[in-house]
Amino acid sequence: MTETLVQAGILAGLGGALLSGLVALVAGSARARAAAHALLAIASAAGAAAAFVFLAAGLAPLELGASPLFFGAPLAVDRLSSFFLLLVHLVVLLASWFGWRYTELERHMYPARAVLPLTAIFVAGMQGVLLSTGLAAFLLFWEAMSVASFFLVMADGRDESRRAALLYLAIAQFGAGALLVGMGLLSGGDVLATFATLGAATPSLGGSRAALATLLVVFAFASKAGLVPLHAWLPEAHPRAPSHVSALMSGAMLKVAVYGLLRFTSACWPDLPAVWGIGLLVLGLGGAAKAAIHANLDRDVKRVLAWSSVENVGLIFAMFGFSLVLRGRGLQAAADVVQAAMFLHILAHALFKSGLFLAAGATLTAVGSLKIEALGGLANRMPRLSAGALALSLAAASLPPFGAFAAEWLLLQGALVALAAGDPAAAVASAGVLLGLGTVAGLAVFAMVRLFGFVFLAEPRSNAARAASEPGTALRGPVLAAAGLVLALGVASPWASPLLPRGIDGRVLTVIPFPSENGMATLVSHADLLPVAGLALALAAAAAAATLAWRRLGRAGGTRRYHTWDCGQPIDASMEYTATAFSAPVRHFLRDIVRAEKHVAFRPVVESNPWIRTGEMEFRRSAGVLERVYYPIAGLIEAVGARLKQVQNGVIQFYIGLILATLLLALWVAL
Amino acid sequence: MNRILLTTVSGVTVVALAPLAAGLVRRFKAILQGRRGAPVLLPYWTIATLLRKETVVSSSTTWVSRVVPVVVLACALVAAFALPLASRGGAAAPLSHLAAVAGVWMLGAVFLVLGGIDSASAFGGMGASREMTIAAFLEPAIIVTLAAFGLAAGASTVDGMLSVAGTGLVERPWLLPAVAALALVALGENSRYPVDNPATHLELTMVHEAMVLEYSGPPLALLELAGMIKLATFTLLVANFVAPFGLATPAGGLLAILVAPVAAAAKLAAGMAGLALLESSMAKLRFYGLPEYFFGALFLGLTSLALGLIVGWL
Repeated sequence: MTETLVQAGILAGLGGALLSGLVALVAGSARARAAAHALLAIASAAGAAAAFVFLAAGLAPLELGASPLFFGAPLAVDRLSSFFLLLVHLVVLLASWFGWRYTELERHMYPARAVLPLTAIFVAGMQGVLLSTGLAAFLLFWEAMSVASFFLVMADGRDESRRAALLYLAIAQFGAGALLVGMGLLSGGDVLATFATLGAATPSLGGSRAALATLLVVFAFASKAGLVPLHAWLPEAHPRAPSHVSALMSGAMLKVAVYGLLRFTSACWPDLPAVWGIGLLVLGLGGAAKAAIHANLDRDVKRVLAWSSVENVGLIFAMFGFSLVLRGRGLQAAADVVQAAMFLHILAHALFKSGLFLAAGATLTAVGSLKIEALGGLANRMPRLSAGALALSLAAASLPPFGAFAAEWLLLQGALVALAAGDPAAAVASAGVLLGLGTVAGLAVFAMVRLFGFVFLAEPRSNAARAASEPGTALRGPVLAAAGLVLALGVASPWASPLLPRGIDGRVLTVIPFPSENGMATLVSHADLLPVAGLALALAAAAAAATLAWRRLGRAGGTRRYHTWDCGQPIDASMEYTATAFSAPVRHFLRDIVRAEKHVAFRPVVESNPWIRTGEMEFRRSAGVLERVYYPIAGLIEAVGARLKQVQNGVIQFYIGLILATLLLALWVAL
Repeated sequence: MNRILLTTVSGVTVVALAPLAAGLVRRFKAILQGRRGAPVLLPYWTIATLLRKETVVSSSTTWVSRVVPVVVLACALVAAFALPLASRGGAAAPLSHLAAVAGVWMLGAVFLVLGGIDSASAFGGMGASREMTIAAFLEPAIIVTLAAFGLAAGASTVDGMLSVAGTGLVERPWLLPAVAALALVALGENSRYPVDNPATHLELTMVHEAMVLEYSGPPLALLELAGMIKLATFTLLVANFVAPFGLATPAGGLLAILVAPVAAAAKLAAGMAGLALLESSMAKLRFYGLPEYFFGALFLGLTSLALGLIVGWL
């Protein structure tokens, strides 16, 4: 009975997404679009409920039926895929709730008629990736997801968006190509292989071939997830899409890429050597630190959020790598705790990052700009939205009592346990994690405080920000819902363990058949996380006590409003500190890493008086990965292409000569 | 012994003694500098006076500024009740987990910073930027240093880490750099010398004061009290790692409970004398010289951690 309902819910999620796209495509009216958004929201609510029930009830893996459309292999769910399915559906629910009003308000920027059908394909593609058991179907849905999101990135039709979209497409296709080759190597060229047969076939591979396949698959998923140094497209592409699609891309799609890596790992390399773990750990932490620095430097709200996504993806990969190292050194319990931290962080990031992108979208509709230096003062003008944004920013900074904090707690716990276990390699890795996590956490807090503080606090820095008013309930609701969910995830984290997959011990996570789970203790014991709830309670009690003290003891004086003290003169926004100045210490202290070039030029207003002068200051960031790695590769490909083009010289004799040469070669090979 | 009683005694002792600690350090500094100084109990009167004063709210600020004093004080209170300051093994001991301590301190700093930004003046923004820098760049040092103690004690809560304090340090001399790192963290987190000058009224150099310039009346009283509690918390924490005497424990009797506040007061007095001596004998670092300070704290913590691992393998 429960199984049937779960199957129905998951299929409704997939079918409803496709149907909503069809509705929006066929009927062009605003009312039809609203209906389509409602359909998408209802479908994802059904899907989320089904995935939740599947996880909470601890059901065995379920087949959802096969179709020749998906190359024969059935669609199915197990714990790993239903965890990610829950996450995707939650993000889709928030995004479609938001998109219902947002696509109408921003119709002048994005073609409303195209956005929803593409979003539907994108959403269905993500679900399909999670449900596929066959490699061919996996790749098909993977490509649907990539291509649909490619079009969504350039939905506003501007030149920069097209450039960003092309960069994104190039890297996505590069990754898909690597995935195709990797799959071919793993399955021995069998396009109809399933994850189950893949698991059986892998051990027969030779050492170098298996290593190459692993490298290709890791490359494919890491490039899609935006692991540094394969991240260059992400801060360009994610901010370009409509905000609710940015939420889907950062909140859900990156996690689908992580899912891909976890799925292949559990199917093919249940005993992935610890060396791979070390690689992922180093790349993840280093990349997270780099991205956290960039999140402090960018001056566009959505780009800051995209950099923060790169940072979080780095942390997720680092946690995965760390757990592989720990497992490789025989510290199974610590590895389990770290994996629980990873899954909690994945879920928390999906919620707070999609919430923040939606808040950015709501701000855009109210102000018309997302340049941090042109915002400010919005907390007075939109108190409810700003409350949601504050909660989400604190969550993104991994502060108590939100979801990401619980993940950080578990990661620290795992690292401390491993540190004291007496194994040198694990201890060194743990020390690296502690150092890296501390560095990244500090910088991430800095970036989030800067983002919230300079968008929402103090005096508005532009007339548009001054004139802004609170966005409607339809835009505010999903933001507040995301904030509530990530708060609930933090406070209720001690009881969240039934929702998490049961550990990446390959044998437990193979798709079908799913081995029985008896003998596997619940991943996280209540004792490990219970203090998170206690801390939330303590904070609430202390805040109540402080408020009470304020109200009871300090009520005699009354309140008066006056302008901010500024040496006796009235104050305006031009005297405020700017976001650029706020993060100046980061730029200065880390100048060897940031390598920003500061150019200051002064010009006297009158030639005869050098003291009265106007000045210009410019920050130029020196070349990054894009300029150093990507463009040279692109240049090389273009150069080779140009050389090959010389073959097409238009001389018919030359072409006939080529045909002759080919024939001779073919004969020589054949004989 | 009732564990809830232990936590309560510890927390109430710290909160009650916090203004005294602030008065003591000012008095000691005055004596060292050849002045008579204000009465030691003046901070209690300051808070009482502020509570009765009118509140002036800047028209530039938003609702966040109204929340800031409450959250900052709440974070200081949670840290004061959770950490083993006048007792060990209390009901709130699990809340002194490394992650919780770092998180609560950071949450308090974040709201103080938001209040500074919200004031809309350049002073507030500048102080906020500096405070955020100090908090962010000290974060790895806090985690690594506490992890070194955690490695030595086999614990993840500060409460458990105290089992290697005192004579434990003599047996494990490799923990001494971590104690020094903790002291550096404490000075930085509390905006004391050499990171910030708490007595300054020169806007261009100050950190903490710049952020609270726009607060007055009861909200300022809450922020001042929070700052005092934080100073007392850090002082007792460092003192307990060096000399963990007089702590009430679940095994101790009623006498231990009565001794605990006295011992805490003695540690606070000693700590404040040391702080006054430090602040009277050295100059403040320039702000752009702070990276060496942060890196020094981190390096000391890492040294302890590395030495501890090596000693463990030998």
